Amino acid sequence: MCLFKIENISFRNVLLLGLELKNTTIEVDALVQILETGLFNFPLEDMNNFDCWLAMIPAPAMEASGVRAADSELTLALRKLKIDMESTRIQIECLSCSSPLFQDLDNSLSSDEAIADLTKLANGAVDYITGLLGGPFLQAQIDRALVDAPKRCPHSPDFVSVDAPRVQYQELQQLNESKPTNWDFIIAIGSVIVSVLLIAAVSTSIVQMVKWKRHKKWLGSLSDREVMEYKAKHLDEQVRALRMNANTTSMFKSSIIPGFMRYFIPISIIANIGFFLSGHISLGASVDIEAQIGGEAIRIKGK
Amino acid sequence: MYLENSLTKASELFVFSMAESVVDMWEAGATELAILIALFSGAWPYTKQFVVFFLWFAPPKITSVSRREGLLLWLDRLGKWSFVDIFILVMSVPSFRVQINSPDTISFLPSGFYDLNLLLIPCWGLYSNMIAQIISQFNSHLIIHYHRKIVFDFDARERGSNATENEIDESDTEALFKHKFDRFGAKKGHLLVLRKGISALVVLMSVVFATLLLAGSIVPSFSLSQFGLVGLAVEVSPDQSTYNEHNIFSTIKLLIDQAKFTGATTDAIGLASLSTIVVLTVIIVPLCQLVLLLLRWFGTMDKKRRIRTFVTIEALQAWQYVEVFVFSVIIACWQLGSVSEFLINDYCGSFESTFNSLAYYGILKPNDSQCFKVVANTKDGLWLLVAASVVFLLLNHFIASAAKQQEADLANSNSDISIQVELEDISDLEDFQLRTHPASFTDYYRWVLL
Repeated sequence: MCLFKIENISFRNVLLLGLELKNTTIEVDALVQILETGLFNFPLEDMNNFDCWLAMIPAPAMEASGVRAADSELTLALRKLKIDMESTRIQIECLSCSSPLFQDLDNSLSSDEAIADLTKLANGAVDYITGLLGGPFLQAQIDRALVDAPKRCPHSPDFVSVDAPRVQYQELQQLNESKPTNWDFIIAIGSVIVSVLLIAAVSTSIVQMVKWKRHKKWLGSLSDREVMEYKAKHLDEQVRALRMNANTTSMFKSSIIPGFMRYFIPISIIANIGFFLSGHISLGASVDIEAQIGGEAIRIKGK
Repeated sequence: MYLENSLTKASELFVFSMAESVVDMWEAGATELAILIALFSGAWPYTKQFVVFFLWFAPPKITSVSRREGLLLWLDRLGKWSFVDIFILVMSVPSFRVQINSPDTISFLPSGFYDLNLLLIPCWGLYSNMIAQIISQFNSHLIIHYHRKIVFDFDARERGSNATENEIDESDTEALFKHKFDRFGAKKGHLLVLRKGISALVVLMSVVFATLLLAGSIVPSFSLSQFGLVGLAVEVSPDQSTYNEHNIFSTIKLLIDQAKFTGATTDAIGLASLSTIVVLTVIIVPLCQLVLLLLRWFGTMDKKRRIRTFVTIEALQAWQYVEVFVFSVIIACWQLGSVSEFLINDYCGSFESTFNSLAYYGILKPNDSQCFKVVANTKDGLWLLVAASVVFLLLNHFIASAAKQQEADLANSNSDISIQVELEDISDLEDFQLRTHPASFTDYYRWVLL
């Protein structure tokens, strides 16, 4: 029922990628607190163990979610990280490409304009990434590494093993509270609909009640004979309804309705139930994806 | 670098069937929508079919003729509410329409290097449901027609057996707005006429309704905002926006454009029928009904024409879906966000932890820390349509109840038989309980009458 037809996606592109960076400068400004005793007692045999270098830095207190506790001091932090590229060029060689536009990609990337654009884009991307690195994301990774380091450094008093498992933290909860909600309009529109229905219901009830009271008052003002005549008139209406019930048959048996229609209507009702069932069980809609990458079409189609 | 497709896992992505969707919605927490769809599109249409089927075979001993009429009329009036899920699906088409193109401004990418189109394609399930709704409505009209034919035939036979009864009055009666309305009870015979300016008020209400309806169709009635990684990709695409406003016409245009885009004949036929149904039921039928109501109000008609007008108005009332459309937009705006989340984000479950971390550290906005989400909101156009529905409801009730009372007055004046009660009959009638007549035009709108 819910099968997918995947059309025309047998593409295969084998590319040789090269990255050329000219005159790239990296500026780093970091804050590092090192324990004096740790530095002076650092054994040379652990020079190649990065965890031991980190173990010289006091580990901050962590919250259950793996974020540094608010009252814990920063011991290792990147204050500034700046990477500046004068020129960036990506070289792509198509070794075996089924997508036609991949063949043109190397030519597109070789032009001066493309190099300028790519350098601008790369610098922008690097700025964005370094901006993130200076933020809480990288800091949390640094703090977690500081907590794990003493367990993995052989000369540390807290040493467990060089490949000791890292501390597992609780998963961060998504910030649902900042997501937009549309309750305001639901309440507004719900109030309008309820008000309209309520006004209609109350008005109808009031009208019916007033009518009933007036009617009762009017009946009270009639003589017995007039009441009986009035009742007789109503009874006549009821008798007519009873006569109609007695002298007519079901619609299926009624001779007024053409024979063909008498059978056609119930059959059409059953067929209609079939349509409804088919409508409810069959696929109502599918999301198709039509994509094209490098001149080659990909189609994922709901069937 | 070795680039090859790995799309085989997509084999069960993004498909909707009503039965499965209701279960999925329920499990995903969109319980309100699950209940509403199960009621309006699940339970209700079957209930209607089974009740109509029963009424077709039930003899008057089991279901009296008057009860049968009442039930058939109610089923006819409420039948249109099964269209809610179809309208919601129509709204889902623009919601899931995503177009991602490679930017033209980047010189190192060849022109049109990549593009991606996400389309919600209605399938047989939707069309089958739509066909069933239409057949159900037609059946309903047909059955009411035959029911009335039976009643008419009985009355004709009754009249035939009583030679003194009058024949059908073929002469023209005065226009409805000039009619002198009679009353029941103490004030019977004290005829009432409409106050001055009421007809002008009717015209004014008609103009207001038509204006509100057309304005509500042109002014955006809902907006859609796309979030998540898909939303971010749309944002960097040229000429694309993650925020779009839609009115009835733009929704229809989108359906037609989609049919052109896919190029499939089935889509062209299906989407064109869907668009036609929306335009007919939400715009054209209400306007036709308005014209007929005005004709009934101002026109001079003989009985045959009055009956025809009455039947046509009744049928059009069953086919005018303004309030159903309004209700569907409200439901869609309320629940589409949750539906889009659970339908598509379900397949991004393994990235949830990463998304949460990215949102926590402020790398992604909370709404973008997911694969895809659509948030729908109502716009001014919907309020105009709500106002149009209310005005039309009042206008329809006003003219229809006046017409009904005119018919009753004419019938009473034509068959004014005085009933002579013999003294011995009186004791039989003492236990007979009188019921009040249902409220009529003069009861509801006494303040417009003199």
